[in-house]
Amino acid sequence: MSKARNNPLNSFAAHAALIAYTLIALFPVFVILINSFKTRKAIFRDPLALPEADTFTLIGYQTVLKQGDFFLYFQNSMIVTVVSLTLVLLFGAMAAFALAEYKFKGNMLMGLYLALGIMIPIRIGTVAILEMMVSSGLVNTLWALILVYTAQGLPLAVFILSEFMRQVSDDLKNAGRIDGLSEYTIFFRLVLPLVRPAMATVAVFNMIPIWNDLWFPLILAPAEETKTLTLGSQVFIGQFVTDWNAVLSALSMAILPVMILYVIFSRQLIRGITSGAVK
Amino acid sequence: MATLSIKSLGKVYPGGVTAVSDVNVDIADGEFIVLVGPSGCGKSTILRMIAGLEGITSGDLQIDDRRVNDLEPGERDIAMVFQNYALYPHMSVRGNMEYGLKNEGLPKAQIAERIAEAARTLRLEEFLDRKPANLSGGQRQRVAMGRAIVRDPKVFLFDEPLSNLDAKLRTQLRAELKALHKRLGATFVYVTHDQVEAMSLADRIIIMSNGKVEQIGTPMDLYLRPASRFVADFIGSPSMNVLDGTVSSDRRSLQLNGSHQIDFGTELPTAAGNQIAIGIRPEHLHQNTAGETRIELSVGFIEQLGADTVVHGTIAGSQSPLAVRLNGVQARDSGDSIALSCGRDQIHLFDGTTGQRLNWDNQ
Repeated sequence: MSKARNNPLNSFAAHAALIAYTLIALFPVFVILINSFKTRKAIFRDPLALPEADTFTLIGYQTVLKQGDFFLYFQNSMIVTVVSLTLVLLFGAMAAFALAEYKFKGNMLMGLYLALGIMIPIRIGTVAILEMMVSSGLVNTLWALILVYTAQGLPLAVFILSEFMRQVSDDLKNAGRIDGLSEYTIFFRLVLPLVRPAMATVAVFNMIPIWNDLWFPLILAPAEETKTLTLGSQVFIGQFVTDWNAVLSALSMAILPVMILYVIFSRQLIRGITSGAVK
Repeated sequence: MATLSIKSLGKVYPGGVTAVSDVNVDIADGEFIVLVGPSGCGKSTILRMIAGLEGITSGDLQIDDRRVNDLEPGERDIAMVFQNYALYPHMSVRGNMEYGLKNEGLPKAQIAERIAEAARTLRLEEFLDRKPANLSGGQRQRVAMGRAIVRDPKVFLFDEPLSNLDAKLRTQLRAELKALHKRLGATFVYVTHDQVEAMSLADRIIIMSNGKVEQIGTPMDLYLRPASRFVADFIGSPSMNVLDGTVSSDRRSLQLNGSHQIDFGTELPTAAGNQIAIGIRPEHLHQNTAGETRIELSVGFIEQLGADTVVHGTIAGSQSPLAVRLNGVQARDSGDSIALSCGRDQIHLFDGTTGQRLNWDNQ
C-alpha cells in the first residue's frame, strides 16, 4: 500500500489529474475576475488577456457601487443565506437526533418521509408556494425566501446528520444522562460538537445553491428592497444592452463571501466527507 | 453510601424477548458486588436498569429504601463507568470531571476541591488539561473513574471497565480499583465476563446465565460449593472437569458414558440408575493414590505455564475429557498415562437433568 503510494509515477498521475481538475474548475472564475478589471472594449477584443495599463479600469465596480443598491442586495443575500442555513442546521440536526436516538413507532417511515424531499425538486411546487406566500402576505419579504430555502435544505440535512448522529456512541450520551444532563444539553453540548464536520458539510452544500439562486428571489421577492445579489446583478443584463463591466464586477464581488465562508468551513468539510473513509 | 435492594426485577424487551427475570438481591452498604456471566446473560441489562438507562418491566429497585424505578438516571445519585470510557472527547480531563457538577450548579470552589482530590487519588494531576485523545487507555479509564468519584454518588456502577485494556494494565487497574473501593467505602456494582476479575474483586458475586441468577455468594462459596453445573463450569480456570454418568446398582460407583467406572467407596445420594454428573477441579487431582477416588488419565496435550502444568487428555479407556493441573514444570508425552486420585470431599455432584447441585455427606 505505502509502496504504491510512494511510486513517483502514481503520484505524478494523481497530481496531474488534480491540477487539471483545478485548472478547469478555476478557469471561469479566473476569466470573470480578470475581465472585471478591463475596459469593455478590451473584454471583447481579447477575453483571455490580463488587464494591462491601458485596458485596466474600475468602471464596472464603480457602476455596481453607484447604480443599484448593491450593499442592500448584498445584505439581503447575506441575511437570507445565514438565517436559512441556521434554521436548516438547527431543525435538521434536531430531527436527525430524534430519528437517530429515540425508538418510537414509525421511526423508519418518519425518516423516509423527511428524506423524500431530496428526490422531489422544490421548484415543481413553485406555483403553489407563490399562492401560499401571496395569501399569507409574505411576498416581497425576505421571510418568503428564508422559509423556502429552509424547506429545501432540510431533507438532505436530516438525511446526512441522522447518519452521523447514529455513529455517536450511545455510552457517551448515557454518560451525559447519568451526569444529570437534560436531553437538550446532551444534544447541544455533547452531540452537536461531535458532528460538527457533518454540520459543516451540510452548511456548504446548502449555502451555495441558496446564495446563487435566481429563481425564488425573482418570483417571491423581486421588490427593490428585497432583491438578492444574484437578482440585483440582473439589472445590468438587458434585453438589448448588457453592461458587462458591471455584471462581471458584481459577480466577482458575489464570489467573495461564499469563498470566505467556504474557507471557514472547509477544514471541517473535508473531515466530514472523508470520515469513515479514512478511519 | 447506600444500600441497594433489588426485588423480583425483570426485563422484557418490546419484541417479547425476556432479558432478565426474577432477580432478587440485597446489596449492603459498602459492598463490592460483581455481576458475572457469559455475554448475553443479562448482567449488563441489570446494571443499566440500576442506572436508569433501561426501563424496568417488573419488580422494584430501591436505593437506600427509596424506590427509584421511575427516576431519571441523573436523579438516582449513581455514577457509572463504561467499557469504552465514554469520555466527552471535546473536553479536557478537567472538563470531563467537572461537567456534571457544573450542571448540578455546585459552587466553583467545591468543584475545584473535589477535582483536585479525585486527581490526587487517581494520579491524574498532570493530565488535567489534556484531551482524552491524548491519553492512554489506562489513563482514560482512570479519568472515567474520576468523573464518577467527583459526583460522590451513593452507588458506583461499572460496566466491564477493564475489558478494553491489555492484560498487564488490567491486573494493575484491578488492584487500583480494589484499593479505591476500600478507600471510598462506597457501594460498587461491577459487571464483567471475566471470572478472574470477579473472583479477585468481589465481596459477593452474582453469577447469571440466560437472564436468571444461578448463584449469589462470596467467591469462595462459588468455588467450593457451586450451586449448579453452570457455576462449576464458569468459575475456575481451567474449568472444572464435569463427567456424565449413570449411578451403578449398588450406588457406590458411577458408570461413565463409555465403559469406564469410577468408584466412590461410599453411597451416592441418589437412586441407582439415575443420570448424574460429577465435577472435579483440575487442581484437586493429584499424582498419588492417597485420595479415595482413583482415575487414570491418558495424556493428550499439555500446557506448560511455568508455575504449573495443565495436562489435557481423556480418562483411560473412555472418551471423557479430563484436565489436571500439576505443580511445577512437568514433561509428558501424548499417550502417556498418569495415575491420579482425588479426595472424596472435593468431588461435586450435579443432577443429570437439572444441573443442580446434589448435596451428600462426602466430608
